[in-house]
Amino acid sequence: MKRYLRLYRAFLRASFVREAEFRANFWAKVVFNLIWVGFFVMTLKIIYRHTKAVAGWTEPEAFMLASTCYLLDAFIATFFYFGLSEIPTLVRTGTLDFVLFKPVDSQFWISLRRINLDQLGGLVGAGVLAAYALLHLQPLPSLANVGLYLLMTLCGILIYYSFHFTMMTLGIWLVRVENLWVLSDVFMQIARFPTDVFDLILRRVFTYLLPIAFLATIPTKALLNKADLGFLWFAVLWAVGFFAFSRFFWRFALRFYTSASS
Amino acid sequence: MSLFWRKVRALFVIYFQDSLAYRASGFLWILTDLVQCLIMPMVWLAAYNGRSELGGYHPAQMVMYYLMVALTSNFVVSHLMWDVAYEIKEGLLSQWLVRPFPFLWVLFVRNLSWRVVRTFLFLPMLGLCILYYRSYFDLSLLRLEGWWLLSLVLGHLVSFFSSFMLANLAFWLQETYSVFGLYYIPMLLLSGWVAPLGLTPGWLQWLAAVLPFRYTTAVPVEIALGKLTSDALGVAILGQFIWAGLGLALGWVLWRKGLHQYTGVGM
Repeated sequence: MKRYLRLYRAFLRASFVREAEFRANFWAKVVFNLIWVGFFVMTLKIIYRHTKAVAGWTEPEAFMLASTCYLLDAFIATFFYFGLSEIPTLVRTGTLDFVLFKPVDSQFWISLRRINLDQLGGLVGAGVLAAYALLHLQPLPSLANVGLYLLMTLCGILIYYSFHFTMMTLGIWLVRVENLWVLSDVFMQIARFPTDVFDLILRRVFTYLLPIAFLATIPTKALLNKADLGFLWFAVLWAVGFFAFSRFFWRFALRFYTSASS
Repeated sequence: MSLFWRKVRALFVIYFQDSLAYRASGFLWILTDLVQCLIMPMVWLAAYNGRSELGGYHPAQMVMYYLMVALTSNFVVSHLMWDVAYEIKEGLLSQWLVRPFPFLWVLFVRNLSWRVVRTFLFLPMLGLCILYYRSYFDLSLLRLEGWWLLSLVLGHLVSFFSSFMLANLAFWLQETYSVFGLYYIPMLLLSGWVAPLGLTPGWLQWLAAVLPFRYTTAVPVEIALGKLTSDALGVAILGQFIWAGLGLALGWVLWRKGLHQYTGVGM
């Protein structure tokens, strides 16, 4: 455990150094992320110009949902999105060999090596969206709801991590598909809207088959005191179960890995 | 058939096969369109709250709008700047410059063959969408006549020339990734991909009227839905002609200037 902490400190240091090297790029990325948050705000504004509620979600509630998504996004993109997204490239070029040779857990190394501090923009965007939502929300969420929200968001992060890791692991077989990450992006693209807008069939699919509802809809509902307690337990179950599955799947997939060069 | 058209045909066949070889990754790109045309109607349908009409669109029209947007963008919207910028940066462009065939035509044929493959790959997904929205699906809402066909072809050209124009920036800029990324924001908003332009605030509609994006997909889709008639239709088609011409001219100037910058060895 101590060795892993030391390793992580080294990853952090390397990431800081890299970021300090390309400072203009860093700020460009921050601004760029903020603009994309603005883009989604425009989408919401266009919809709410014409209605007071979408499937029972008022405008501030929808902003809170968007804020949750961008919080999730920023967290994921900072800590593991880009590291995981490299798996197909590692497979294609055969450099996965070097990872597997290292005396560290390969999942740890691949997931956490790249820390992208330039995702700050998304975090700021999420903060602004949350502030706007909270200014307009009646009544304000209680402290217990905030605690629940943070716990649910953590589950959401774990679910997204497991989904992305599983999809990238497919790269061990699908060597020629260079854009597997699109699947994870689509996963998030759906999560930006409350799953309540879907009909019963899709709602079930997004709860029991593909846990999209647990990314943002259910955490936000927990904050707004609208969530079913059963779903909260289910979120924890999904998070832990999916994480265990993604780890198992990675180990299983590695048995099929044939180095590219030899 | 002259030698030139034989070359065009050969290139088309080559890239057609190339696109088919990478159909799995093509399929993933199409998913993003599919998700949009599945989700946005549901969001809007959940926003009617018992009303029969919203900004001039009744529910069935709203569904048809997004189905048409998805289908149209598969054929129309070009993303060629990513590949071209890569070719310029890596010096791969040289292999095209030494060949006795204009690069702009290579791009056009390459783009067209991929668009055709992509449209066909999208059809089964469109079928699924139609199945899902079968209670809203109504072909009688569509007017697929001569003007529509013309606007579709023009839309393809406007998008092609706009991305060609943008691609040339790679001759001067070190880092094109963010610039190209930013291009997508006005593109998605003003091409009608996010929502029908009629539902957006006035200042966005004004921007849409002067920038090229509306003339790519929004115009053919609105014509198909019968939202553009008589004068408005004429103005929209004229706008498409203007932007196709302007895009070609500006793109060509940038391309000629850019070639002087090009070192041929990558940067």
